[in-house]
Amino acid sequence: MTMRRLARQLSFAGALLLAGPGGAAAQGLPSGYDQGLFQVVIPRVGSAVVVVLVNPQGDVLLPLAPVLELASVPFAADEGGALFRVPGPAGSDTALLDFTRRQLTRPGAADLALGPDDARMHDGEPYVATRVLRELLRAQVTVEWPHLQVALTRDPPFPAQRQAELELQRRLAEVRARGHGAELPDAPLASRTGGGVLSWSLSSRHLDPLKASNLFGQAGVAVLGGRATVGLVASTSYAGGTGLEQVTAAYERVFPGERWLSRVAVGDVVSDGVVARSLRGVSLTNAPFTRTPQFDQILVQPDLPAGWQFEVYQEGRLVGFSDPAAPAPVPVALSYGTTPLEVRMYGPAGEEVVSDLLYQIPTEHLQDGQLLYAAGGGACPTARCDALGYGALDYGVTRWLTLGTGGEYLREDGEGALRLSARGSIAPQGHWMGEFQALQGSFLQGSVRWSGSRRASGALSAALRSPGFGQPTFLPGPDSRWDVNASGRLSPVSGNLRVAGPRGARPDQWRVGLSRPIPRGYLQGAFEAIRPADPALEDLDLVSLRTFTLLPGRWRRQPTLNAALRAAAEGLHGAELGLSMPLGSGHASVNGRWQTELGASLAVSFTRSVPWGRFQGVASASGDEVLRAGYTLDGGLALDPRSPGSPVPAGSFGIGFAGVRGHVFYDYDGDGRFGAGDEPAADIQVRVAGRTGRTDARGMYQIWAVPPYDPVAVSVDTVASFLPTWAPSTSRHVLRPVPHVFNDADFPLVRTRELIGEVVAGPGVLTSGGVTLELVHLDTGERREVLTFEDGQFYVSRLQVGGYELRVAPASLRALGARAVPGTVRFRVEGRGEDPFVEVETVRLERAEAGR
Amino acid sequence: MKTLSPLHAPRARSALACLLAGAALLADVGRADAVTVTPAALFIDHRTRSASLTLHNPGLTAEEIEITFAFGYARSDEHGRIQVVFLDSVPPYEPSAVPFLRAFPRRLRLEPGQRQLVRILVQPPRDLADGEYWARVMVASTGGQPPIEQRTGDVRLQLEVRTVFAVALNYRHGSVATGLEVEDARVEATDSTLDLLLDMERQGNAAFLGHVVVELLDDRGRVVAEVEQDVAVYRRILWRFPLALPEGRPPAAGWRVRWRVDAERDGEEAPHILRASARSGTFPLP
Repeated sequence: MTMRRLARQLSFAGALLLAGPGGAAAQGLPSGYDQGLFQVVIPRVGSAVVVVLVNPQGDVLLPLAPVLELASVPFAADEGGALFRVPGPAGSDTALLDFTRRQLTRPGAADLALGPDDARMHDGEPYVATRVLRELLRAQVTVEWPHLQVALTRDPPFPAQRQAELELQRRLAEVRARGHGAELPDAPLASRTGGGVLSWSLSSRHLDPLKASNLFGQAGVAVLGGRATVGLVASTSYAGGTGLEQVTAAYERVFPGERWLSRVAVGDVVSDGVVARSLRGVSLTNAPFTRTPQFDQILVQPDLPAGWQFEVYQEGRLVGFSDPAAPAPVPVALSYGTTPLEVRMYGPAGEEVVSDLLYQIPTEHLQDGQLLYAAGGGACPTARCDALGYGALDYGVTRWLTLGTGGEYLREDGEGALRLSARGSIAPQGHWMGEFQALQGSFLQGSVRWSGSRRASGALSAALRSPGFGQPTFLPGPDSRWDVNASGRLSPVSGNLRVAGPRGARPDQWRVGLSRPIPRGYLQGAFEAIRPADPALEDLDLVSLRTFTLLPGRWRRQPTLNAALRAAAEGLHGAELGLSMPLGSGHASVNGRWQTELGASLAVSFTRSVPWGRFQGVASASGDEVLRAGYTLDGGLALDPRSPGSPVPAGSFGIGFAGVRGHVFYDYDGDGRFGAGDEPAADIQVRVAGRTGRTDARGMYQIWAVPPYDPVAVSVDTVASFLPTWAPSTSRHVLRPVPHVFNDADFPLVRTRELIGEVVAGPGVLTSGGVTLELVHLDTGERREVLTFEDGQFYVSRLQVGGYELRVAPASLRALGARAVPGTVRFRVEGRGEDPFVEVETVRLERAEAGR
Repeated sequence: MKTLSPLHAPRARSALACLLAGAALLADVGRADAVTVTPAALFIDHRTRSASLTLHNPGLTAEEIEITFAFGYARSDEHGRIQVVFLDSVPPYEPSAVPFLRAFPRRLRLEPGQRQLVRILVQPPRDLADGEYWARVMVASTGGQPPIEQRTGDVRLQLEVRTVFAVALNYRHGSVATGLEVEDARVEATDSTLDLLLDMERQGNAAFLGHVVVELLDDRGRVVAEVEQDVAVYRRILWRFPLALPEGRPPAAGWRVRWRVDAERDGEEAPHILRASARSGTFPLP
């Protein structure tokens, strides 16, 4: 007897013993056969304990039906269970296993004759050897004698494995949705007054700040939950003259959730019509302060046969799936812009069919039935007009059509003029969307976009604009101009074509360009032709080639190189070479340029963040010009009157933004407020709206640059920040930040303790391991289930302060035929004291009959 | 007293693999599906006073986990064979962190596919002297039983297997420093290898965690054999570095052995390595 054979025999003897009286003693076994218990294991699915036969050669014969059921492979048995039809992987052709003719027939493969010990009927159950199972299922079948296991694997996976993968993906999707994508609960906007924020900017085209400089400053406070702002603009000329150019003042208040009035602004404001204009007056609207990226929901329900299910993916992320038990449409959120969806449909035998869907929603599109208005009026702060009034109305006619109308009234030099406007957007399901806008006597423009697939897309836009509207052009003229743009992408190449000209005349400007990615960058080529009607300007034909490349370097430290060449009919017209790279806490770039008419020039620029803001400097020199230099200093500070002397740098996010402040503290007295009996928790990480801060030695944190008005979540790091014996009473606050002020969010930390105890099995009770316990927090009603360990001990982590009840679950008691003594254990977790553990009395399990 | 092969010995990228191999020696029976534990080493200082381990059960069955602490570090015999010796009773002169370590939770059940964070908290006595204190976090896992409501009959196929992972823990209290002196270096030859033996003694009040490169150079200065290894010197240790001789090229006149020990590591341990001067040497083959 070989050692392997001996090992099998020894292991199998163990299996027979484990099988108990039903195993070795089974009657009617074929001569030379043994019988025992094995565990059939399918990765990611689970296992099943089955009774196996072992033929005289020592090979295992597995019962067919339980194995197919474990793998969820559909099968049909005919002729009294002697003929099995089993579909192949992913629903491919069906194999026939015929116990009568003793043959396995598979499409595309030679028939397999079954020997007498390859397949048997025993007790009315079909059994097959592992080699037959391997051919039948086209799977790997591995017998592990030491562990008394048979492992089945297959690529493509078994339907049960696919189902397990789907369920895992769905659980992950649900976790992700809870953590990130889930909508925050609503929170009220407080009518707070106070705070303070400063923003400034000083820019100059001269080294002397008293010459050719511009100073801009703004100060803001919170007033009754809104934001009040005053500002000034002053400038100096090259000659050194100084002037105060503009003083502004504005107040804005948002009313979250209000249907008919969501925002009021008075003072120096910007109109909300088809054309945004500055005015000194008032503006009203019911449009949301910030439009959420989500547009609407659609229902996806492919036409599927019974037993099929489907999933909907967006950019590789599972966003919805059907319930196999009760198929129903899957709601999917559509975002503004393009929403590509992938629908994966799965059949019961593992078939998989993938279909793509694409939805495009223009940014101005409204939901079905949604009505938004904007209105306002006042004086013009600039010399272009005396007074302005406007109104606009947009309505979501259907989910795919939004129409809007309105008008503006301008009075200039004592004469008034009314100009009507219209706009609309259309987004039918599919690859198309279109938009148009028109303002009487000013412009008419529209665009159509097509997103065919991931590889191909295109867009076409056309416009007719009066001077002063749309893109500025260096081609002068009193007439309106037309402009047609077309762009397309056939991966990896993108191209664009632009043709423009005066109204009613032939084009005077063409441009055609192509670009494609190259390793670590992209390459762009273009041809441009200009034929000005003005005889003072020369015709120009230019061919240009431009490349942009990331140079080797560590991530976020990578320098970039850009180079360009331009050629005209006469020869080389210009060349450019630039290098840009991160430098310390800033960014530097050097750019050299040569052009036929202008000669060579070199420009150096540098940007650096400093605690109070940001500095940008630029210096340039050319062959025949002296050195020119300029700079910009800008920044902001947020003031917290309750913490004087420590303004918070706000950078470029001063005016219009909000802050969050608070304390994280060990709440020894348990009152939830930071008081004399408590201790500050230092160096705790707090996160809000994608920004993080840490508490100082006073336990205080301050985070600025939070977008106002919309709900934000403020949370503390519950994993790494503080001692494991403490936990925040709430790990998250949701609030609507009031602008220009620090909003409060405190985090009291409460003591937690670890519960330890033991369940002991008395005489006649099988075990105390794996027993389910129920733990109820008497103050909150929160209920938890705990399993005892193999030795009967149990352990519950992070119990908060309060009274508790612990009992053995009735289902466990029924399964064991036992009763617990005591029936209920009551205990209390105290806030005071250093011992992290709470030990409760032992629970004894007794035979239920013995107690009666 | 239990023994374990050296935990800090291999290259960093294979540290976990070595840990698993070492753990297999502790385990009563090895299992492919046992719990994984990361990171392979914990470094805690008196400011943070806590660290965390991530446990993952990649298997098909639930695992019961128990976290305990033990004291032991790599030691060698006179032949350069290295073992981690766990002491049931720790002498008072040994810098054991075990008395002031706590695990939260210290027992748990990991369902298949589940991950769990275990926080390790250090509660040192107030008068603790500056220095580095050592321990091993012992993560013992056994196949957990299913709830009794789900069991059928008395049939049990569960193999009683216990796997223990030993994770090195270094607690640094106050001012710590380390260094290394190589007291002796010698070569021992076998038929197919040349073994360099380095007798290393740690300086300062913290373990020397570093990296050794040993090269065999021929008469033209070309490297013909090389071995690299991470080393951990807790006190004094004799470490053997076997160099595989190139086939068909026995050592000849002019060949040399060159070695270098520096306090550097790759991977996730790198930020925690204490700086120390490197040591190096070269000597001709006898």
